[in-house]
Amino acid sequence: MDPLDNVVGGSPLCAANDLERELLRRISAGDRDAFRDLYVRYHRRLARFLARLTRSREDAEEIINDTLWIVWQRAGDFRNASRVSTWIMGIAYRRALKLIRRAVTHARAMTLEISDAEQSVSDAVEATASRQLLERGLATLPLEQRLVLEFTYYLDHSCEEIAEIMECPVNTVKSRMFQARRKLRMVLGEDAACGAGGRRER
Amino acid sequence: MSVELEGVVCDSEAARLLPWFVTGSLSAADGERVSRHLEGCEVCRGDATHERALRAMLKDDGPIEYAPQAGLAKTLARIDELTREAPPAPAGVAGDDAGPPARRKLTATRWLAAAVIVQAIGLGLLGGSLLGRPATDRARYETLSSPVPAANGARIRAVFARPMTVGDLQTLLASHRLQIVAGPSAAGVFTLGAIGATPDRDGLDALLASVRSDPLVLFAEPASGETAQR
Repeated sequence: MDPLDNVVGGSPLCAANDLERELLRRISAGDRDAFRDLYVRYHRRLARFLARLTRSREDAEEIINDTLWIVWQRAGDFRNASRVSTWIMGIAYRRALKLIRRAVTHARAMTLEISDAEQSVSDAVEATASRQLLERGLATLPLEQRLVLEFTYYLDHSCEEIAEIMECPVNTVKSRMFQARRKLRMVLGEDAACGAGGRRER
Repeated sequence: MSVELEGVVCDSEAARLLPWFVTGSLSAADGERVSRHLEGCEVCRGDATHERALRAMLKDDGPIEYAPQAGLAKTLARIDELTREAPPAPAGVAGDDAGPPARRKLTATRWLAAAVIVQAIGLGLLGGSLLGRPATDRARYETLSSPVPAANGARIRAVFARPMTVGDLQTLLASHRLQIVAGPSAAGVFTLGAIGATPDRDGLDALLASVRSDPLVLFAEPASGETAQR
């Protein structure tokens, strides 16, 4: 994981954003090295997020390439009104929605099935099994709720940033998150969600 | 595994902010508000533990392999192709699907202009020789790229989302009253022509807006020589 990703409210996050703003500035001047740096920097977080969203590595790669291609074209229009990551995630989100709206991919994203091969591997390792369980739990959530969870916990975006990315009111983000947590808790149960020793007493 | 169907019990506003308290992305005021709430709410303290565990699991990338090089090479090739083919876009273009910025150097423009002149001369000579041939020697078929009906129409360069079926393409062209004039290039760029009367500036703007709003259109801009209100 990028060490800068997980630090919030302090200078490292600001430093990461400053670095990315500088990369965008260079990209807007046609600097391909800066584009390479930004591409590699965003590929990982976009790949995991989009692969989960689309349940297709190919679709995820297509969206990543489209997103960063748009970043190449639009870098000069970034106005520092938000974090660079919020801007880029907004582009990826809109591209993903366009793709998901095509019926075949949408059906694939919504399926709850996992292959026998995946299942047998997951059964062999507890950590992997927990992950599979989580994936299955996430798959039961409506798309918008799943996105809010991913934006919050995987990508560390604030509630306001998610509202900007998803182009909806802040209260809608809060409601989606609340519903997602409740449904996920119901599907997974506390033991599964918290892992070993995570059960709380009431 | 046991399954408890208890859900989230506390439905206070502070409880709704708990996920962002866990990630540390709340404002100072909201963070303080949630902290005060946690002091007196055992349910939310437990929920905070749960949410931290959930976040840790979501953060765990697991066995996914990341190989950005292939995609990077593909995207750079796409940029190269567009840089060679697309004209400079006017400044102030809005939206994700707008055209590329003007990045070509003056020397490249000159070479391109020279190449176009040479090509035009060549095409003129070729056209003259073809017109001089008997009618029976001419081809009696049309292709998707036949430019006949839109010879004088506005031109648009566009890139479509992939994968796209022939049926999708035909539907898209028909819905916008467009036809393929040239392409696709190696980068997947199509040159499209408007069918029927040549649209004026406002008409071209409307056509572009309509094309760009199509979910199957990744990119659309006026072709060289066309103007559009941005």
